[in-house]
Amino acid sequence: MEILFLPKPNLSAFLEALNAHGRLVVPAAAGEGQYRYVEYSELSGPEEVALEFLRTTLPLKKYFFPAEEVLSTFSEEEGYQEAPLEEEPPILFGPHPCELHGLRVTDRFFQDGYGDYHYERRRQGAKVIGLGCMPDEKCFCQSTGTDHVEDVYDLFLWEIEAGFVTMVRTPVGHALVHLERDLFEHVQRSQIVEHQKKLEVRRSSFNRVLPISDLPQLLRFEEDSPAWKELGDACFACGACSMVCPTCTCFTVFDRTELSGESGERVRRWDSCLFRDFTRIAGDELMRPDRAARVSNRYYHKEQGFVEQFGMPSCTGCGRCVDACTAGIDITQVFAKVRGSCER
Amino acid sequence: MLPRTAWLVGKEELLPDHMLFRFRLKPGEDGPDGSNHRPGQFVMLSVIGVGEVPISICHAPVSQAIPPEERELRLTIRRVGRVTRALFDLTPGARVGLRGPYGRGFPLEDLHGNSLVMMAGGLGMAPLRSLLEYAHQHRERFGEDVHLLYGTRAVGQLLYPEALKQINQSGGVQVHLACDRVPAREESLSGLPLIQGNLLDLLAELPLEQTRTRFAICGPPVMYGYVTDRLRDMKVFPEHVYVSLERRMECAIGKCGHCAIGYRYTCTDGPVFSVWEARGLREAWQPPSGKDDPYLGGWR
Repeated sequence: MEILFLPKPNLSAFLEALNAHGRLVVPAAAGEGQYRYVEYSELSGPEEVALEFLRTTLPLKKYFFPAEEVLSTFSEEEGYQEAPLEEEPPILFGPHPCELHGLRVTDRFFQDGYGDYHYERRRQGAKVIGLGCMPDEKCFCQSTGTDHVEDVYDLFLWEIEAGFVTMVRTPVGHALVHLERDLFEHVQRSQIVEHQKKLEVRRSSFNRVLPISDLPQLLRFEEDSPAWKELGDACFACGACSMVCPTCTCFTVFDRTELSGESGERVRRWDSCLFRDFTRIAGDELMRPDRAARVSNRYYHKEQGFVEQFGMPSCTGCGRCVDACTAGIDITQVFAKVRGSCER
Repeated sequence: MLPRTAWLVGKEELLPDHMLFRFRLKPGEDGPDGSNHRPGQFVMLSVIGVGEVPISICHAPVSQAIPPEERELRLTIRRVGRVTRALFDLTPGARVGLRGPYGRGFPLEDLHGNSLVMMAGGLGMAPLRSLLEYAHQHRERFGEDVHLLYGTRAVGQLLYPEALKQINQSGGVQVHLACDRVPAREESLSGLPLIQGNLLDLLAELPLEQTRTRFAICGPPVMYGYVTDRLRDMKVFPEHVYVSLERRMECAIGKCGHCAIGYRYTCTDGPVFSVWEARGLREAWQPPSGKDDPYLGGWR
């Protein structure tokens, strides 16, 4: 670990240096209050990079687990062949701590057991430059313990008045700094004090709370809570929450065949456990036909199943599902209701 | 997730819409060749241009002394969906994709040394046949008694009558059949004892030493409800009972999410689960009506 300081006027030059070095991905505004990760080369310059943003519409998973991806090609003569990957791994600039926790969850999930070749080949070699943030009314990462991150990143930039306190965590981060080492200065004690004061303000700025430590146990008692039925009635099962969730990883696999019928490609595409057909098996039987059961299944997987499997819940408190829900369902209210049904 | 090259080398009709398929893996390919699986495991079978489906393996692993180019993988398949319909239309020589074997099969270490009661309902006989053959071939590894209890709706729906007869005649493994409807003149099928009734009727006839017996059950979910309920009444422990679950699977490596029951992935944590493990997984099966204590999980 090394701690440096990047003066604000030098950020543009650093972004240019990163872009010259590789495939730089940055946050940028995309309409009213919306942000998305884009390739830096699509922007007209460093001034279009968003620094004051919170959640992007889609999380970073799209770079390692694209919404749609060709797994293999097939033909009668050749059988199945692995689809080539031509993209170079990205340099990700701008993810906040919750986003990096999300990345850690998908890393652990896809690397566990058999390992997911297609995720890993995109993930391998990706470089990560995190960015500090100040919460809005939808953030609850303080509750989920994901408001700070001590791994996953190579560099992390915490903004103060005159620039960025820069945490250099890995040799990869060190090498990135050395692309233009002269842009960075030694960090002053006064700058660290200013940063710490800012973190104190950040700590007291959260107003959305989700107590999680007893959730796995609570959920065991409350499988029959009337709250699930209520939610099932409210939810449109549109799947938007799954698409925007940094830790939702379900996908469907299908074959797309050329018109000749002799060749084609096997594709995977994001899927959602909220969809009615998600569990349909041959013979047209549905394993989870009831919408309330599908809704509760999703929350159980986040807050209980993941704890059983990996020792931690998978919700990162980013607030994207609150933003995206067409029915106005709010995950913190969901668990408050379930908790409430225990006290009735 | 890349399917390996294999060829269909033979097919044989067992019942209407039920066929036994034999496949040969391209030598040198890293995939299921009929010798490298555990009883209870499954494979992913691709029909080129149509799609991929999970199918359980219906035989014990063949000896690895057999040369790779002569090994065969056998799958019993019911024509029920888009991919299996296309598969039934293939002729020997057709190229297919195979990958696996996948999943956790029956825990042989726990079965060894104990008596074994296998219970199959309907097409559940297909996956269970892998364990049946294994127990028959390695009878000395098991305890005092090894039984197969097999039930279907009608006599005409019983799978593998000839193979079951041979196993029964060679001793060591006793086969008992039950059908919902048995024509009056039939009291045995190919010399196998046959009753009109169900698996619980067969079970009631068996002298069992509960703590030294293991149970392996394969069939439709509704059967798991009433069989596990009866076993509980018989004071059998849930960790001594194994069931094989069927779910939609698209990746078989614990990632796509379709087969998840709670936090358990049927493809990697199963398809064989002990009832202790399945306990609390509400969607695993329905308890018999009137016996659904929600806090007893799947063992009600």
